[in-house]
Amino acid sequence: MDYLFTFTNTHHAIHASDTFESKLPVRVMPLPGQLGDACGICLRVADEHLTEAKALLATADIPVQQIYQIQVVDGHKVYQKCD
Amino acid sequence: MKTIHIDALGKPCPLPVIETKKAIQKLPAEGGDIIVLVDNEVAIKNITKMANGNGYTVDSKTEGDGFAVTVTVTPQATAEKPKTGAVICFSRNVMGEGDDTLGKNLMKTYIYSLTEITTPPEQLFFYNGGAFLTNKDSDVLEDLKTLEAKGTQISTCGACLDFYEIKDQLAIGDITNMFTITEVMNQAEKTIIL
Repeated sequence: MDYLFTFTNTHHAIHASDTFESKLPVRVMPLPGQLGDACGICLRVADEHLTEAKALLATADIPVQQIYQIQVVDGHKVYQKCD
Repeated sequence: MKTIHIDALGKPCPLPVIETKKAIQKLPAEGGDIIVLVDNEVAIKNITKMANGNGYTVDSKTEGDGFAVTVTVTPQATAEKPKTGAVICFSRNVMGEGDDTLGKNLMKTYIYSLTEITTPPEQLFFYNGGAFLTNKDSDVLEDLKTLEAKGTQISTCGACLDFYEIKDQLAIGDITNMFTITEVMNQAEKTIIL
């Protein structure tokens, strides 16, 4: 299971990507259309790195707009908001 | 049933696939066979992937020093134009002009997006600064592997790998030269240059 981190602006997304670099595997991907178009870049992190990713962003003081759990339903990706 | 013969001996990928698709479009409504002569198993694999993706049947056998691959197109399959992926050329390791940090991230999102489109690209060429995208430290290597598994041919310019002294770091696809790049771009239905 993977998680998607979205950000309020591109600078935060790139800063987060740089923060994760060499510390945990992260995939930079475009924001799925159904999640809006405010910041077009989001980050995908595997389940086992979720806690570490959250901690790294908190330490670096990078605000996260929303975290989504990525599910596949009938062959389509569905993004479930996490609390 | 009409049969079209193609001699693709000595032709690098993806030319055998491109020529096969062009021949399929020349078949009459009742369908027919395309017999392609190739001299390597990668070409067989790529033609087979294309055929399976379009609902054609395919069979291959050794013939002389090479192989004869027969693609059979039924009338139903003839009604639809074969899906043709684009040829995409990466001349830089960032996307667009401006801030390179943004450009690097845009490139990651672009290549990720390619893994999710319905018809994957036919061929990706990497040259000049783009040659860094196929090396072992590339941030997009996993997505390129996904594309390769879907049948996309990935090729990097040998002169560029040599110039930047990164030939030993190439981690995916094959090494190509300008003759092949030129020929494939010339034959492609759609070429995108980044």
